[in-house]
Amino acid sequence: MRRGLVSGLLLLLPAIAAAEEPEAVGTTIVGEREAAVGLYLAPWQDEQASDLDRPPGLYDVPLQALDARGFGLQADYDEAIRNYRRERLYRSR
Amino acid sequence: MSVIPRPLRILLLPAVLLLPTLAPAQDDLFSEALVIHHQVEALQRQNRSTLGVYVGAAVNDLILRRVEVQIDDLPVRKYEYGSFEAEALRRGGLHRLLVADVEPGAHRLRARFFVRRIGATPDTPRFVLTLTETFNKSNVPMSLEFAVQSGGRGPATLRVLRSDGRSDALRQRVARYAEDARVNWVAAAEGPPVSAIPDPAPPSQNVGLFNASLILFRNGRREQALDMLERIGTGDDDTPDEQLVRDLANLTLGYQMLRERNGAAAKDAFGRVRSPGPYANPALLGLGWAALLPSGARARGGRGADRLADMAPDQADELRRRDPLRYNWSQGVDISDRSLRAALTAWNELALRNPFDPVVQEGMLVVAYALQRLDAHAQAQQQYETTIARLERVRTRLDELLLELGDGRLFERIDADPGHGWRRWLADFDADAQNGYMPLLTTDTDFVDAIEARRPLLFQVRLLAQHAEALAAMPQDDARVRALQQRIAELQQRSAGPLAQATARAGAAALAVLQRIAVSTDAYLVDARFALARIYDPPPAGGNGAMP
Repeated sequence: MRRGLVSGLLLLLPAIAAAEEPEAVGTTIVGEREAAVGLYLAPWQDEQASDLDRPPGLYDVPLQALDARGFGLQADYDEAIRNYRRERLYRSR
Repeated sequence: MSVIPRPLRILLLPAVLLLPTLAPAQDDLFSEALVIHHQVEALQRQNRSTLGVYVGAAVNDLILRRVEVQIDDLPVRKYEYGSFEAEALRRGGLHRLLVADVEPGAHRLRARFFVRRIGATPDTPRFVLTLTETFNKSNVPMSLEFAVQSGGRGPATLRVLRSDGRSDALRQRVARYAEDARVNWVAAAEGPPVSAIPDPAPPSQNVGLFNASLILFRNGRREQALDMLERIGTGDDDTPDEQLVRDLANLTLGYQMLRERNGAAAKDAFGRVRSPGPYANPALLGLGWAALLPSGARARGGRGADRLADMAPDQADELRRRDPLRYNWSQGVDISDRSLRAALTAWNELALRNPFDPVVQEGMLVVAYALQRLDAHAQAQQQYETTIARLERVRTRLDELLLELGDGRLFERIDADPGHGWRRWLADFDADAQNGYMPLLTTDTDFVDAIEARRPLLFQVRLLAQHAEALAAMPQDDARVRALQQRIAELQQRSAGPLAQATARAGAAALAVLQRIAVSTDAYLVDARFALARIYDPPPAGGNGAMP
C-alpha cells in the first residue's frame, strides 16, 4: 500500500515540475543540428505602425462650460489689450 | 420674445445654473476703511494748503490720450489714459489727477494735453493743447478743473475752472468716472455708496447658448449642437463679450468639422475667428489641418468622403501605417505637396507668434514636420534647431518667473503704478520675448477672477497707508488725529491677512498657468530634440541615406 502511494507521488513529480516552469516567451524553433536547414519566416500579422516619426501632439478645443462672470471679465481684459495694441500703432501718441 | 427655441429652454436651465453667483457683499473691512477715509478727509479740509487738480474731457468728437501738468517747479505729473478711462471722461466723468500741498498766494500752472479725433487713422497727427497761466491760491482748500472743449470745426480748447474745496457735484463726477473706468473701489471711496466690486454685466445670451450646445454634445444630439454653434458663430453683435463668445463658438465648430473631415466647413469657421485674439492661435493651427482635408464635393459627404471608409480593412491598415500624419486630423487622406504647402501658410504664421503659448509651440513643431514631409530636410533641420532655441529661452524665463512668483516680485510688477491706465488691465505686459506669459494669464478665468477680487483689498491697504502718512504730517497734539492713527493701525493689521490670502489665491492661479506652460514646453522640447537626433542619426550601412 505504502509502496503504491510513493510510486504515485513519484509519477506526479514531473507534472508538478512542469507546472512551475515559466511559459516560454516568443517563438522557439527546434531543429536538428546535423542537418542544414533553410528557414523562411513569414509574418502572420502586419507590423505595428512606428511611433518614431510621430507628428506633433494634437491640440483640441476643451469642451468646457463658460462661467458668465469670468467670461465677462475676460472679454473686458481682451478689449483693453486690443485697444492698447491699436493705440501703439498711432505714430504720434 | 426669446430667440431660444422652446425645446432648448429646458436644456439651457443647467447651463444657466452653471453661472456663478453675484459678487459678494461689500466687505466689513472695506466699509470701516471708508469711514476712516471720510473722517481723514474732513480733517484735511481744515488744511488750507490743499489743492486738487481734476481733468475732464466730455467732448464727443475728441479723445484725451495723455496729460502733463506742472504746478510751479514741482515734478511734472504725467498720465496716459486707458481706453475705458478715456471713454469715462467722454461720458462726463472727472479724473482726480493730483492732490498737492500749495501755500496761499500766486502760482504758475502749466499743462499739455494730447488729444486725438475719434476715428483718426494711425497717420493722423494728434493735437497738443497747451496752457500756461497763474492762479491765486486762497486760504481755503481749492480745486482746479481742466476742461477740454470741442472747437467744432475749429481747434479744441483747454480751460481751467476754479472752485473752493470739493463740492458734492465734483465728487459725484469723480465717482462716475471711476465706475465707468471699472475701478469701483475708487468710486466707493468718493460716494455715493456703490459696491467695491463691479457688478457683473448681464450675462450674454450667447454664453448660455454656448453652454447649452455643450450639453447637447454630451447628450449625443450632435447635429443640434453644431447648428447652435453655427448660429452663435455667424451672429453680428459687436459687444466685446459677444464677439469673444462668437470666436470661441467658431473655434469649437471648426474643430468639430475637422473631426468630420469637412475641410471647407472647418476653414469657414476658423476664418471667422478674429486675429489677434485669445482664440486666434488655435484657429490658425486648425486652419492648417483643414487645408489637408478634402473640400468641395468630397467633403460634403462628411465621413463618407474619407478614403478609409471605402477601403478593404487591410488596405486601410496599410494606408494608416504609411500616412505620416496618421495620428492627426488628416488621417487616411491623401496628403499632396500642394495641400501641405497650403497648410504651411497658416502654420508658418502661427510659428512666429508668442512662444509661451502651447499652441504656438505645437505650430513650431508641425512646421518642421511638414517640411520633412516635403523633403525639405535642410529647412526642417533649421526649423527644429530654431524651435529648440526658442523653447529653451521660454523654459529659462519660466524658471525665473516661478522664482519671481515665489518671492513676490511678479505681484510687485503687477501692482506698480506706471503712470497710465493700461496697467489696470495688465495690457502693457504685451506679448514679447519677456512677457509672453501674460496673455496666457489674462485669458485664464481663475487668475483674472482672483486678481479682480484682490484689487479692492489692495486699494484699501494703500488708502490706509496714504492716510497714515497724511495724519503723521498733522499736529500730533490733536486727539482726533491720534484716535484716527490708532484705528488705522488696527485696521491695517486686520487687512493684512485678507490681502495675503487674496494674493496667495491669485499666486496659486498664476502658478497653475505657468506650470501648464512649463509642462508643454518640456514636452515639445523633447519632441524637437528627438526629431533632430533622428536627422543626425547616420543611415544604416547599405541604406540609401534617405530620411526615415
